[in-house]
Amino acid sequence: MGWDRIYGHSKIKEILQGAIMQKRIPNAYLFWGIEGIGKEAVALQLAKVLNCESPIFTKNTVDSCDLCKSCRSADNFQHPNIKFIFPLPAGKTEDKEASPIAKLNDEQIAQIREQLALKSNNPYHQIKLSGNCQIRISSVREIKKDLSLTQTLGGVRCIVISKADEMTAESANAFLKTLEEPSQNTLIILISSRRDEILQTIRSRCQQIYFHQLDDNDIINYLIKYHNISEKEAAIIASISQGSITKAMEFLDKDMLNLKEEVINLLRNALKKKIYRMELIERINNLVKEKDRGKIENALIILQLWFQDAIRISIDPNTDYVVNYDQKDIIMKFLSNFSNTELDLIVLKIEEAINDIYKNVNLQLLLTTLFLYIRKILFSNKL
Amino acid sequence: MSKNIDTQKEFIVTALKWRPQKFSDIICQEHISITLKNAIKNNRLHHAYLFSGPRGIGKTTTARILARAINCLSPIDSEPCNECQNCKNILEGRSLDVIEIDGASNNSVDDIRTLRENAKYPPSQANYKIYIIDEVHMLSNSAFNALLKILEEPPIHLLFIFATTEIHKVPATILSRCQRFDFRRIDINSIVNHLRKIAQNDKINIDDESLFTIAKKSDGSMRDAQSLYDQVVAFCGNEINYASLSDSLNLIDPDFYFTISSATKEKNIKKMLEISREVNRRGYNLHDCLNGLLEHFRNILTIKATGNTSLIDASMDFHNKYIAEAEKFTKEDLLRILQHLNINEQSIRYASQPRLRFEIALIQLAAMDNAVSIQSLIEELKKITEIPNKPEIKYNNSDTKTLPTSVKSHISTQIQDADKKIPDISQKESKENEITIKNNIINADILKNNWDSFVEKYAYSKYKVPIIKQAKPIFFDNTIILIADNNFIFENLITNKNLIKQYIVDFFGQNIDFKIQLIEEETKLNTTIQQENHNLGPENSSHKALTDKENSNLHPAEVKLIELFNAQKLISND
Repeated sequence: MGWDRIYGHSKIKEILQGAIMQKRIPNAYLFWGIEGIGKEAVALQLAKVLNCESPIFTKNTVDSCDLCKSCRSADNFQHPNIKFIFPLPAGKTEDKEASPIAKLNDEQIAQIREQLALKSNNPYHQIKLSGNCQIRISSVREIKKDLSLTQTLGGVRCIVISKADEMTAESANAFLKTLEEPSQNTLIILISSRRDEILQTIRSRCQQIYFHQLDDNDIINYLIKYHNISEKEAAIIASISQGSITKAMEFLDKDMLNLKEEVINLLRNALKKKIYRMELIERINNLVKEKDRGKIENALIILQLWFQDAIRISIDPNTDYVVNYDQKDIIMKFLSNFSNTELDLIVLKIEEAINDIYKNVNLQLLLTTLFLYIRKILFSNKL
Repeated sequence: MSKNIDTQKEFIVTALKWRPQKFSDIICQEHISITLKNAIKNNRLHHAYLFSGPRGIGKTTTARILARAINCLSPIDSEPCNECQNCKNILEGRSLDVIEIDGASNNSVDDIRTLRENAKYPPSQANYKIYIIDEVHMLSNSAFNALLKILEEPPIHLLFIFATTEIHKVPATILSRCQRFDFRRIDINSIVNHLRKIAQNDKINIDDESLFTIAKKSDGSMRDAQSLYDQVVAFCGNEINYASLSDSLNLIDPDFYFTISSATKEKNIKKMLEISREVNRRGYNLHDCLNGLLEHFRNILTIKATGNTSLIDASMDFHNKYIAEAEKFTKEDLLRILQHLNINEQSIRYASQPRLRFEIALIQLAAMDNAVSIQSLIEELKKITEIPNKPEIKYNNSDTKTLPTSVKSHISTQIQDADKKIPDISQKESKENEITIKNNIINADILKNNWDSFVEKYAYSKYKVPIIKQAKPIFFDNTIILIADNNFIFENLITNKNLIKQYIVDFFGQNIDFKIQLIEEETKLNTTIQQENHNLGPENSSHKALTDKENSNLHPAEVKLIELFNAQKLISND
């Protein structure tokens, strides 16, 4: 059934169903938590249940039937009561009165259609549009116009706003009054992974529900169900995805196993006693030759996690709290060679490098200095 | 017919349901409501009011009440009756004379032009035509400027009320035309009391600790508190206790912070690792977690600084725990921990892997060395530099021992007076040493006895002034003279003069005078020395040889030769 499609978040599902049963649905919710953990999926499911024609009640739960016309149209983003708002690219003409969609060209509209189709198949899909996407004031005006009209269908009008932090200052402020005193039978759900970027005046008008990271098992189940990969590979990806499906998907496309191999080799090379320079530079060149910043970021995250594991093992050799299970022997060997080093400095340095990746730096230089730094730290303590 | 759940939706959020309808209902803003009531009573209404302050404390509410109070047909003690035709019209939002505008949606200059057009018509039913512009900070620049003239000299029937959270975005020309009221945050107790009232009305049992937690989390905003209350009620039903509340809001267990602080004290890195894992497992928000930790250590520091618990926002149960915790840390450590957490709290927002960042922050917390204040470091340093003076200290101590007891006690009381505020024994001791150094000269004997160890320390190793070994020292009270045998040594000593001086000061203390002399003058020097100071200690054999009258008329080089080979003069040169 509906709620079952959503991984994890059992408590939040409980809270929301409880709110429906007790008729204590507020004007506005703010769902927040890191990216890719199913906030939108929960919001859309809630909207679906609220509009279902024959919801299934038990003592403590209420679920959508997923059979009625309303549920089906909700699944296809065609329900008139359910509005799904997401950041849109800027349109050509900035006519004040025009609706945000009307400003877009055919190509952009086709892209949106495609993304929405993906989203309706897989509630965890993240809508990605090209161009500078924001929730502009025209979108907010449209919401307000819609809400000012009389409802044509029964049910609760639900407005799900994805990436609410992408609202411009104008649109956020313009939204305040609607949020506080919306018309009858309306629920607004704001969704954001960066709560701090949302105006305090907006936050104060919402019930804020924090979504925490998914369990690794949830991610494994998800990956197996939607992406047909082996359990072993899913386990590795889940362990480095930090509880986020979106992160896991990034790793999925990128052939992480090979990248990991490459990074570990690079590190191994950087820590050779002699004659390491030429080979190091060559390997780095090889890694950055596609100028794929995302790939470098992933590589550095792998490296960072590897060092973090080294820290964990150095503190407690018997710990099972490691990401790179397969690397444990190598890490042990590394630790016996470089004992008493300030590994935390290395991890922080890698983090700094990751933050620099998107600041238009020269990737070769970034990686070269990073590895030389790691080498310097490791060898300076060895002397 | 569809059996939608939703058609039954009739719930009104607490913030709206409990929106005050009278001045007297407004909480914690008495300075404003009383002023406004008096203004109405005395008929001294200004034509433009500006309400500012953080979210959820009653700006819009006050604006609406003011509008009704002004236009009410039968006001009771300047409060709106909320029953007359005017009040009803305004409450239901269909009054022609009170117009509430959302400044953020209608922010263009055209909107303001329309407003100006309409504003000149007198009110239809009420006394005043009132424009409430909420979120006024979002008006465009030209819109603000279009308002200026009408704001300065409005028609007699016109009144503006502006409300905003961001007063700094409102131009000064607008500010100067308005009477401005700054709303203040609502204190925790008022929020608790108001929520209790609401809960009683809703027939919901909620304990004080839960109310307190909600009030604290809402950060002075009543609407935040009411939203949280709704959320908790939706989850917990009619019986709310702290456990179910913290479960529904995913609050961080305060005991958890105590675990961290004791792991910090014990330098238990392994424990930190377990904690970090537990945090991830429970899905706490890492940012909130660090913030909570900051507050936790801040509470400990507060107790350390003030000695009581009056300044901490925590329920009574925790006060004793905090006092116990404060015993474990020094002020310096706490400041350093706070600084460390603060840096991490800021950077964790931008970290690509917040979990790692959090874990490292905890590990570093446990790995942190104890902080020492600069003052005590200086004291330590003083102690170290005084070690060579040990014999001298003994000397002084024995000196004081021989003093009459009355004098001794006098000195010690003096010291105690000076140190009353710092009852640290070690500090008192060092202070005592300091005094003895100041009052007494460093005896020549002491200098002499310690010279060898001085040479040993500085001649070789890394200090590299081996030349001092070649020089011959002569000691007076507070003075060292280095005698150079030849030009080479002399020049070498001169080039290193500053360095040697520095070392001597480092080794013996500040008051030492230091000179370098060449051999030619040695004899002369010696005689003068003998004349000047009879207490001079026994000199070494070379000096004796040189003081021989026989050698007095020899060439210095010859004297040197004789000395070197321990030779005897066989033939006189004349």
